[in-house]
Amino acid sequence: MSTTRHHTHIDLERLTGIHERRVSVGEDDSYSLATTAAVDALHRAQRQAASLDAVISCSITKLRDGLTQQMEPTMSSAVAHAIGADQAMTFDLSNACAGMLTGVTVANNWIRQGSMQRVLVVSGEYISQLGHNAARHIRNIMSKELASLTLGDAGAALLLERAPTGSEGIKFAGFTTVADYSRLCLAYPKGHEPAARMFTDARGIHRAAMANTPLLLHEVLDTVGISLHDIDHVITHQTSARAIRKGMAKMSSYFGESPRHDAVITVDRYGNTASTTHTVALIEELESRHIRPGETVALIALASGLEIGIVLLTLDEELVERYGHSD
Amino acid sequence: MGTVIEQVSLTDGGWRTHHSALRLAVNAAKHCLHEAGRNAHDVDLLINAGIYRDRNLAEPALAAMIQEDIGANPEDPHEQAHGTFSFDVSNGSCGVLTALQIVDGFLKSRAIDLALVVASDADPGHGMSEDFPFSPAGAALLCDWFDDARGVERIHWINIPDEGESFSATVGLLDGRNVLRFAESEKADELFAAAAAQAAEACLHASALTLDDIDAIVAAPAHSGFRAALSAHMGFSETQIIVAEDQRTHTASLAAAFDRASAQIRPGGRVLLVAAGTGITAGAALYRMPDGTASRQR
Repeated sequence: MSTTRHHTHIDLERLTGIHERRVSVGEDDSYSLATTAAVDALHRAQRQAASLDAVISCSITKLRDGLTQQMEPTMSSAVAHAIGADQAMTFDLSNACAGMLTGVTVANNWIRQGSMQRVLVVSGEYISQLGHNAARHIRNIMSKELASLTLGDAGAALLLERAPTGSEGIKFAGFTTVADYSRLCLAYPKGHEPAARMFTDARGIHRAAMANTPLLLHEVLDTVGISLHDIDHVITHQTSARAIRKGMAKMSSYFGESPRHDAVITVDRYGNTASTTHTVALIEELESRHIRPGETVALIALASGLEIGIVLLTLDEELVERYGHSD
Repeated sequence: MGTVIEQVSLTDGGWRTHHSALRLAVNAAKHCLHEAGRNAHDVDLLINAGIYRDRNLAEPALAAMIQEDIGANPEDPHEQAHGTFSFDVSNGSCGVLTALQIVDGFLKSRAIDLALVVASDADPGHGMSEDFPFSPAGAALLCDWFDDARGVERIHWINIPDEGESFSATVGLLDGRNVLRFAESEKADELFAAAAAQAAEACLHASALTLDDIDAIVAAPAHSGFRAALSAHMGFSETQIIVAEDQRTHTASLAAAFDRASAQIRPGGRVLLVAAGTGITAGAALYRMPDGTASRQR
C-alpha cells in the first residue's frame, strides 16, 4: 500500500497473502511477454514454430510499445510472426482471467478431432499499470479498485499437441458462464490514466464462485468417473491466498473429502497475473518437483463473466522431467 | 457433415444503439433466436466476434453481458439443467469465420448442440474515439450440426504479415484522454484482396474444385475496392461476389454478406466464404447451402 495516494490503513499483505509481485517497469509489454513465453515453450518442447497449426493469444491486455492497447491487428498475428509461425491460423481470444484455459478448451476440441496437430496458447499480461492507476484513487478497504493492487505481470505459453490414444494428457476441458454476475468486475480505459482501470465487487464474485464451483466440479468428476480424492493437485485462479484457502475448505466440506495435496498458491510471490495464473502456477509446481508423472491436476478458472472452467489433465514423464523432476 | 448456419439476423444503429455494440449484438441475437423459433436457453455456446464496443471495455468478455441480456441460462447452475459458455474472439473481418471454426470444433465433438455467433461494432462515442470508420452494425448467426453434406467445410488460412501497416487501431492517451484511433493504408483493399485470393485458391485446390463449381463468393470486408480487387485477382465476376450492403460494416460484414447470399443462392448451392483483414490474415471455406431451407423467408 506504499504507493497509494491516500493513507488507507489497509494491510493488503494480510488481506491477500501477497508478499511480492513482479511488475514490468516499462522494459516489457504484453507483446514481449507473450513472445518470450512462446519462444521458451517451443525451445523446451524442441518443436519448430513452423509446425504450429494455430497460435491463440488470450490476454486481457494487448499493450504494445508501452501503454498503447492494440485493438487491431491481433496480438496473435504479431506473436506468430515474431516466432516464425507464419503458416499458423491466428486469432485473439478474450475471456478475462479465464482466457488461457478457454484457449485450451478450444484447442482441445480441434486436436482431439485431428483437425489440428499442434496449437500454441499464449498470453502476455502487462497489467500492473491498473494497480498504479488504482493506487491514486483508493481511500479505504471498500474501494472497488482494491483488487487492482494485487495484479502482477507475466507471460505464459502452453504448447498442446495430439498424442496417441491412451497417452497422458487433457482428460476434460469445459466451462460454464454464470452470466447473472457478468457485471461484477469491469475493466476499461477511464479518465486521464494510461491502460485501464478495473472495478471489482470482490465479495460478490467470491460469493458467486463459492456457491457454484462445487456443483460444477461435481458434474465434471461424475462425467470423468473420478472422485475429488483422485485429484492430486488443484490449481485455481490466483486472486488471494485467503480466498483460495476458504474456497478449498468449502469444496472439501461439500464433497466430504479433499484432493491429495493442498491447493497450489503462487499468488503470494507473483500476485494475480490475470489470464496466465494457472500456467505460472503449473510451471512453478513442476520446477518445485511437486508434480509427478501420471498425477491428476485440476486447473480451475474463476473469472469475470462469471466464468467457471475446469481442465483435468495428467502430465507424462517427458514433460515432468523437462521441468526438473527426477524420480 | 458440418456446421450449418440455421438463421442470420442483422441490426443497424438506431438512436439507442448507435453507440452501443452491446445493444446491437443483443438485438441481433434476440431477433435471430425468435426467427428461428428457438429459446435463449437452448444456446450452449455464445461467441462474440465484435471488436469496437461500449467504453472500449477490456473485461469481461462482452459475450457474457450479451448472454445475460438475452437470458441464455444466466442463473446459478442447478441440477438437470445445462449452462451456456460465452467468450469473445477478435480477428477483424475474419472474426465470424474464426468463430465458425471454433463452433465447428464444439459441435463436431458433440460438446454442444446449438451455438450463437454474434458480431457487432459501434463507435463508443463520448470523446473516446477519433474518426471512427465503421457503421454501427450487428449480426447474429445461429449454428447447429447436420450429419449430411451440408455446412462449413475446412477453413484455410493465409498470413501475409505487414505489422499492421494496412490497418491498425489502438487505444492510447492523447492529450490526457484515452482515445481509440485508426490508421489505414490506401492500399489496404488491394492487399486484403491478394491475401483473400490466396486463401480462396488454397481452399479450392484442397477440394479439387474450380471457380466453375461454386455459385458465388461470400466476402468480407464489404468495400467496393476490395470486391473489385478480389474479382481481378481471382478472375471471377464481380456480380458473383456478394458483400454486405453497407460498405462500412466491420466484423458483421461476412454475416451480412451471407444473409444476402442465402436469399439469392439455390438450395444445395455451394458458396465460398472468404474473409480478409489486417495482420494480414485471410481465410476461406466452402459452404454448402442447406436444401430447401436456404430460401427461408425472413
